[in-house]
Amino acid sequence: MESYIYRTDKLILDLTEWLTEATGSAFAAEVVKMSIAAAVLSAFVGLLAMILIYIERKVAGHMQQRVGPMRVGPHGILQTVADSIKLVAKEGLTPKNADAFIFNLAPLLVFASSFACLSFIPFSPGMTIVSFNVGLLFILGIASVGVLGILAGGWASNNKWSVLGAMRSGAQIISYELSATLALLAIVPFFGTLDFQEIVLSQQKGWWIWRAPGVGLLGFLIYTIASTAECNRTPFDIAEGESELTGGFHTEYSAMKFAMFFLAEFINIFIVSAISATVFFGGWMPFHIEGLDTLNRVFDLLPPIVWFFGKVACLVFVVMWFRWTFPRLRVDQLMHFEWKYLMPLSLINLALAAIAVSAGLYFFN
Amino acid sequence: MNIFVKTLRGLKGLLSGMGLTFGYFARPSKVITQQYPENRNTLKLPERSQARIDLIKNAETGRYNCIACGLCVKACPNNSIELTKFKDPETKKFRPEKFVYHFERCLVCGLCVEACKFDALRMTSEFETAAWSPDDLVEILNKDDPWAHDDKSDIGQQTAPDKNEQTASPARDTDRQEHTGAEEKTIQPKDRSPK
Ligand code: SF4
Ligand code: SF4
Repeated sequence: MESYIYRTDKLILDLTEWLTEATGSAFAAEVVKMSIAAAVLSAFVGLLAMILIYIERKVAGHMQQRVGPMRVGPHGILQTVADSIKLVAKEGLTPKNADAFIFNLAPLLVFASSFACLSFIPFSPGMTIVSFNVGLLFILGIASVGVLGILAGGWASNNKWSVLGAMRSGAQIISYELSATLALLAIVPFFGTLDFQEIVLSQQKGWWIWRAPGVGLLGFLIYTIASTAECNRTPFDIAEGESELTGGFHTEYSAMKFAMFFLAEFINIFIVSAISATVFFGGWMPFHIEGLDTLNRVFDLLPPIVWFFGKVACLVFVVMWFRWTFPRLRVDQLMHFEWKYLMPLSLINLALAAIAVSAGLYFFN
Repeated sequence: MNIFVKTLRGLKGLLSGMGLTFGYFARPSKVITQQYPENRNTLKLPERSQARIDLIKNAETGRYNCIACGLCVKACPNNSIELTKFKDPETKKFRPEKFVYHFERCLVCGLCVEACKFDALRMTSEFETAAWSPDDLVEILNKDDPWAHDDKSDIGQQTAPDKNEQTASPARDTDRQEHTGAEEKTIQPKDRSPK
């Protein structure tokens, strides 16, 4: 039983075997497995968003010498629960002149794209809901569907601020997606696969952030910047602005529809951090230094899932740290930065990576 | 070249900002928010916090420093201070007969304190000033003087006087009361006549 925590791949295999026996066919077993996964993932998403929002507010508070929520529950831990109940209980309004169908579809699109991305994340050995040999590429593709939801929501609201916010948001996400993808792409030649589990396995000897000399670090920095922008977070939060655009594309949304946008935003933070952790920091792979066997064994004591969530938590904290420190950019500065600096830089990075790989210039090859 | 220098300088700025916020984050003792109703007994107010005004007493003589000059009355944008004076036969100086403070009109701007040349007024940090009725907010600040006492029956009747008509003399205050008395009653039907 205990070993299942470490060998989750075995757990999954045994579970599949047992289900196949119980249901009598491999297909039925797969269906049951997927249903379980969907249920678990839904619960996980709700919990994750609540925890992240709570942490965000606490981090924000303490970074500004405040304390954050304090009243609901000890140290305010039930604050997000209360907020969620409030959001669910509220009336879901649709503005009179809005395009009702698209208006109601948009939050679903945004949420579904984030939710779908989660199923590719390797949480632990063998624990990927969908194993897919081009997982990395696919996740980047699906993530872009979210932009569609944002644009549709802004357009269907029939409100000029929403449209402006959606346009800004769309322009920003589409631009920064390039850098984010290029930054990840620069690391792909090193491991030569797009399957997340194999990417993790390729880092047994060391994480790519330092195994790929310079390129890894630069790629990580570019990806961090670009993914922050992709999540529409400060300093790249021009999509909303109380003084100019009110809430941006979600100005007209309330109750559950707003909650979905909100949820998607926080899942996205988790996803980009998870991708970053997987590609640059070895995913669930424990930290190992070749030669120091005792130390490695100590690190192995922590189950892989703890390693994974630990790494993701650190990266999420960095993103939050950015948000509560940096001043925000103007629209033109934002585009300027992406197209004139970040993108060329990521192209150079890609070229350097290609040279490094073909020359075999990386550690422990 | 310029761009590299600029980039480095910008990075330095961003990193130092991150250092600062992390410093705050890592040291919860630096938090300045106070959990107010819970820590009511240990509440620490900043030095320069200002709430309602009060008169300052001379510690030696036990008298108020105020010489009823009326500068504060003139300075107040909301006419929150009403003042009547008399000449103290002992010292041959003016003293406030009644220093009436209309907290319901006061915006806690501190202009009166600034105007006072005699170190007779100060801003206190007493901020729990909620009351059941506006009348409760009218207060006589020189309440320790025996003649002022807590007799509020003849105050709180006037509407705010015109700026140019402002004065510290009691005679004109009553004049004004006659002008506006009837009007006052229609606006505020509540009986405020002397008991
Ligand atoms: S604080 Fe301002 S409003 Fe209040 S009594 Fe003084 S001058 Fe008037
Ligand atoms: S300005 Fe000072 S001394 Fe003059 S009446 Fe006001 S409180 Fe008294």
